[in-house]
Amino acid sequence: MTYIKHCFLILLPLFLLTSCIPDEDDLNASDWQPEIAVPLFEATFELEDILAQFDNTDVITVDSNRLIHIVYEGEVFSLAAEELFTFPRLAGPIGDSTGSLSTVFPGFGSIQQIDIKSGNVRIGASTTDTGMVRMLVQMPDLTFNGVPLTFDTTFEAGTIVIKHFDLAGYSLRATNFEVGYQYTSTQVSTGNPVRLTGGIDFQDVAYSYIEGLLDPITSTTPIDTLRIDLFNNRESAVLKFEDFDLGLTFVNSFGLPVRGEVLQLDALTNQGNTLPITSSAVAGGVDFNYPSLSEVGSTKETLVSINDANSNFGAAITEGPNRIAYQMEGTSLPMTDVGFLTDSSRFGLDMRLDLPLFLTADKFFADQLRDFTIDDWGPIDKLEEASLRIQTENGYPVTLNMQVYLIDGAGARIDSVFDGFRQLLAAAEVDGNARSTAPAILNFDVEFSAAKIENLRRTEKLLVHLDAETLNNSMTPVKIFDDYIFTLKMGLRAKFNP
Amino acid sequence: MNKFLFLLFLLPTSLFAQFEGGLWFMPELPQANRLNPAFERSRKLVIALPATYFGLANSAFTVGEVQGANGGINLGPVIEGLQTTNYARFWADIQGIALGFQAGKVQFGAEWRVRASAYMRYSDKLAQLFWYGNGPFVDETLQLGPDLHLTGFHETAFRLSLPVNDKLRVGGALKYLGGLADISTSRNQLSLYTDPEYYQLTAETDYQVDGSVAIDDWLSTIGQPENWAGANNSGWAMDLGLQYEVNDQLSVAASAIDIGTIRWAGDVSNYRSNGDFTYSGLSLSAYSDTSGLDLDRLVDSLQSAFDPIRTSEAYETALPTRVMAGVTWNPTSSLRLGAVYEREWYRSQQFNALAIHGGFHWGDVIYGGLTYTFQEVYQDRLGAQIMVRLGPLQAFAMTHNVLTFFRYADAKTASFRWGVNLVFGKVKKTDVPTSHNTPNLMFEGK
Repeated sequence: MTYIKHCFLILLPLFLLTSCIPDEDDLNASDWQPEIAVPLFEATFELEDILAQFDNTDVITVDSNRLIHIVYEGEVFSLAAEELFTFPRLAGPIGDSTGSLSTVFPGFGSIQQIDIKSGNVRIGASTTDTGMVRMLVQMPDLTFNGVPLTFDTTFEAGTIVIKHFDLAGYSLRATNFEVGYQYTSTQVSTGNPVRLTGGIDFQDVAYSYIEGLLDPITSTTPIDTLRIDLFNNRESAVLKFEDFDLGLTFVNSFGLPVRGEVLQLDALTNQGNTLPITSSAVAGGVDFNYPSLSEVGSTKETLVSINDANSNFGAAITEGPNRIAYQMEGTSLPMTDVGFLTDSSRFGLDMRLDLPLFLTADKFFADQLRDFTIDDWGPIDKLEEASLRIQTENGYPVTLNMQVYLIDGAGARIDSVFDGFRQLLAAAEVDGNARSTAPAILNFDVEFSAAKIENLRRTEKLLVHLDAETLNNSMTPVKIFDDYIFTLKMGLRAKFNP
Repeated sequence: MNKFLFLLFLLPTSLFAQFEGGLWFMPELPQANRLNPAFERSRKLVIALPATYFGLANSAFTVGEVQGANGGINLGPVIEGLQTTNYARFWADIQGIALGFQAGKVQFGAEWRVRASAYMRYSDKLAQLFWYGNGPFVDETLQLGPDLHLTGFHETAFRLSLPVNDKLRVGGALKYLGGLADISTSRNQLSLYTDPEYYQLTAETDYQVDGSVAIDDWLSTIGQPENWAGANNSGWAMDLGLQYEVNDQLSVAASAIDIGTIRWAGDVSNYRSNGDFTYSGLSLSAYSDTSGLDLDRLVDSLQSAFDPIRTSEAYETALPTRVMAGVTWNPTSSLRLGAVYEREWYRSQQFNALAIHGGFHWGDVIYGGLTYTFQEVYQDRLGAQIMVRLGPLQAFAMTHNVLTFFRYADAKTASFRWGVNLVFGKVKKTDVPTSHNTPNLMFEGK
């Protein structure tokens, strides 16, 4: 059997066909230049993939109809009660056996109740008499659970007594803006009245609730802006939104009638233009809703919508603003009923710019400069020439043109991927609801000559230039829904020297 | 370079002997019984010593056509000249020892030898795909599936030849086959379509490769005889033949040989790819896919799309059965003329060949002949045969294509057979009722 095997062994090498794979040295390289055609990838771009390219994705929302909205919102200003009303300083002398403190609360026609959440009252006194002295102070207007504040102390005549009393939880019911107090001082041994010298004052008093009638007051906000970055990359784009809403929400937890007026509402563009926004919705001021006396602690909102029907804002959006500047003035109205405020009461304005993507867009372009490196030139070195076959299936009713420039280390454009601007995506057609009906398919080849491949070697950056417009040269308004996708398929056809 | 050229030439070859028309007309050689077991040997006792044979046939191109400038290889012109279907075959056998003797009017024979062959049938598209790539064939379905059979086995044959009457002689052989190694395709449907959309590749396959060697590592295993499948692979085959002497000058003969199969059961691996596979490139989820596009990933993905299923089931291969019919005319005692037709059935293909022979005896020492062969698929060629006898020593050599020795670069086929036999005891006329094989006195000895 061994002999058999060795005989066969002699024959076998003759048909080791796998040895027929030619060595590189055997084949004339100039003659063997196979051309291969292979698919490279298929990539589907969903909305989230596209949004990932934006710095601020929080501005994107989708409504129940899956229509995409770009929403910019923020609390553009807020005014707290303590910024409007502070507890005034109260102080008075102690010279006689009785006395009262009189004060004025700015902005209030009258005060009926002040609830104190912190602070103290300080009493200091001395006498020239002799012996032990008793001092009894009572403040009937300042009560704790209905019990007036009482201050009873004994001290050695000839010394100075200073006492503090915590006012937290006390309620002050002032009449005619006066906080009355009575005191008596007697000599302990004889019971005879003693004349004291000293004073009484309220320190660091903060309120939690004030009730009364307020005088009209006016407050003006500083000029502030709401930033809009949608148009940051826009240079000459023309965007026309078919629908939009600039919502002003006035929030008020003061128990007071207040009227707000828009002193300034401007759209500011990248080019430095100021476009005043006028709207009948805010002309003449806006009366804020406010909580009644039985609604202490609640907040009332007043909504104002500035839209295409009541303003000129649409024209301003077309110019691509990057900020909305505003200034408000609030004035409390004369009161006939008792009002209130708490330490947490505030006036506020929340601004919300809602831009549903139902629009036409033209000349919307962006440039991106990206680093370009190829780690392994091995396979590319073998290429004689190549072309990329690209198919795009675009569900968006948007046309996208593209050019990619090759930038060398000196920053010079040395070549471009396309001969000219290349249409990358064709716009999908839309139905009567401005929704795209079927993806638009586009096929094209991108040729890479030997010279262009060589230029790639010198390339350090790519300048990607994108130019977009909506359907039919931006003549047809379209809606952008979040279920749109586009697909990029790419194959490579290359002739190479193995 | 030379290795590649040589093997490239072999690429289109297979196992069981190329048509050797010249041997048909030299029945004095015991080796002729392989073509027709009815042929009567001229000696009562013959001992065939170890001998070798090899043959190559390539339907597509010559060595010279492959040679490019500066000694390199240029397949371009060759591939341009390919037929729709092309063949390449290789045959070889090593004869161990053969014995023949006569008892009464019956001649017996026994022989042991090792046979090997390679066969490949391939489309021009397969070669063009290799050379040009698939780029030029976008939006075209390429039928590729090559039919391949590489095999080796040893054969133990027992032969019998006896006269029926004074005109007719019949013979037969029973052969035990022991498989050594085999690689063959049992399904050959393999097409490739490159979609013009963005070059997606679609393969429709019903392709199966069976092997009775360790295919995964067969290059190393093949050099280790102890690992060969051996006894688990066996089969039987038979040869049948007849010869009719019309008169003293004219005879006709026919045979059918290598009717049989081998069942391969040792170390079997079957690799089958069946179905439609489309490779559309890497599936990227846009920006969320951070792994990017790299060549290794692309190749891995492509390979996984076409991975075959491996099983281990025994299978059978058939020998290439050949039927031959010829006529021999001896107008004088020195001159032999004849023609023989062959039809071969192999791998679902049929191959026809016709050989015309003329030979001459010089004295009692030498017989020389020329054979011109017309063969379907392969190159027509002129072959030469020579046989020399010195006492009991009978030596022979032959080729079916003399062009190989003079202008090898122009040859598409090549073969060479040589051997030495020891022959004893002339078969007397009275022993045999036929005279077909006895016009030549030189073989009768003194």
